[in-house]
Amino acid sequence: MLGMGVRMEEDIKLVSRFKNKDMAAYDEIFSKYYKPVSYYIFKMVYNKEIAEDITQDTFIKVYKALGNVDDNVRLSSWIYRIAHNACIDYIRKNKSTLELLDNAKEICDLNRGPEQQFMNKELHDKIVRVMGKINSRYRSVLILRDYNDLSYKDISIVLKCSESAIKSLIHRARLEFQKVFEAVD
Amino acid sequence: MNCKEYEFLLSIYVDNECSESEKQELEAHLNTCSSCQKRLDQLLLLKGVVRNESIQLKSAEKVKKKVYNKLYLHFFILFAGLVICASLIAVSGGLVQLLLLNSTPVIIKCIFFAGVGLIMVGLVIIMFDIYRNVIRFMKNK
Repeated sequence: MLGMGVRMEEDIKLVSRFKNKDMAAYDEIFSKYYKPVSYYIFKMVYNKEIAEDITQDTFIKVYKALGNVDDNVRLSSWIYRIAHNACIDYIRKNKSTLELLDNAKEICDLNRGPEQQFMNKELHDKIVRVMGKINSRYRSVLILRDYNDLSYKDISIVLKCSESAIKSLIHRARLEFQKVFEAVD
Repeated sequence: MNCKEYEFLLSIYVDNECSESEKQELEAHLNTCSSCQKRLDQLLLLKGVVRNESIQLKSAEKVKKKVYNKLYLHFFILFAGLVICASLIAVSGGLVQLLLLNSTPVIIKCIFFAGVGLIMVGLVIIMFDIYRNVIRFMKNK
């Protein structure tokens, strides 16, 4: 929790510097959040080019809106929220969840480190298919929690609902993931 | 609590978001219930599966450059739009005056048209710059 507090303090300083026209602060925000946010976006749309476009648009929106945010904003949740909305807009407009997943096999690369060797290519492809079949809200909470390591509080800010609703949503998402995982051959 | 209720708690437990009392109660139950223990293993595996999927994405620097290009383009188009609007208002105002005031000396007319010409050259330069940035942006994309 101490780490979280320090991170939030850093973020508050970055926002304050940005508001005082210190453009280096935006660079730091970009460097800090590019990787987790772009991974989240990629895992939501499973298409490298589209993920890159959405990532760019997300950071443009961040730049344009950062001057008007509250000084004590939880920056990470706020950026994830912008990214999440952009992904949901894209998914709604394109209804492309399933077709996108065809690309994922080519562009996802398994980490072959010693800890991850258990996950073979077949299993990976299956996960991609399962992620494509489950509801985008379930997919979103699973990624935010299990991949991006956001707390329930942060996820509740991103998805604009209560922490208790998030607990229930994550539980249902895992049940759904497991159900589809067992059904997919 | 029955196993169904513990199953809900397990999901919170693997996320380390349980209260201390919930944690103690659940751990006591896990010592006696093999099906909940199995469910816990499944949840941990599921978390591992989502967490360990890695992706190769473009470097932050490359994407940051594109973000700045887009931002630059947005601001530039806004600025260029303002300049063009101001120029058009000035030129049309001047033209109306020239047409209404036939008695304007030739030298004044020459200076006026030279000014109009310069504004046009300026607009062409601005349009060329926008075009060049659009092309550059499309190439980067």
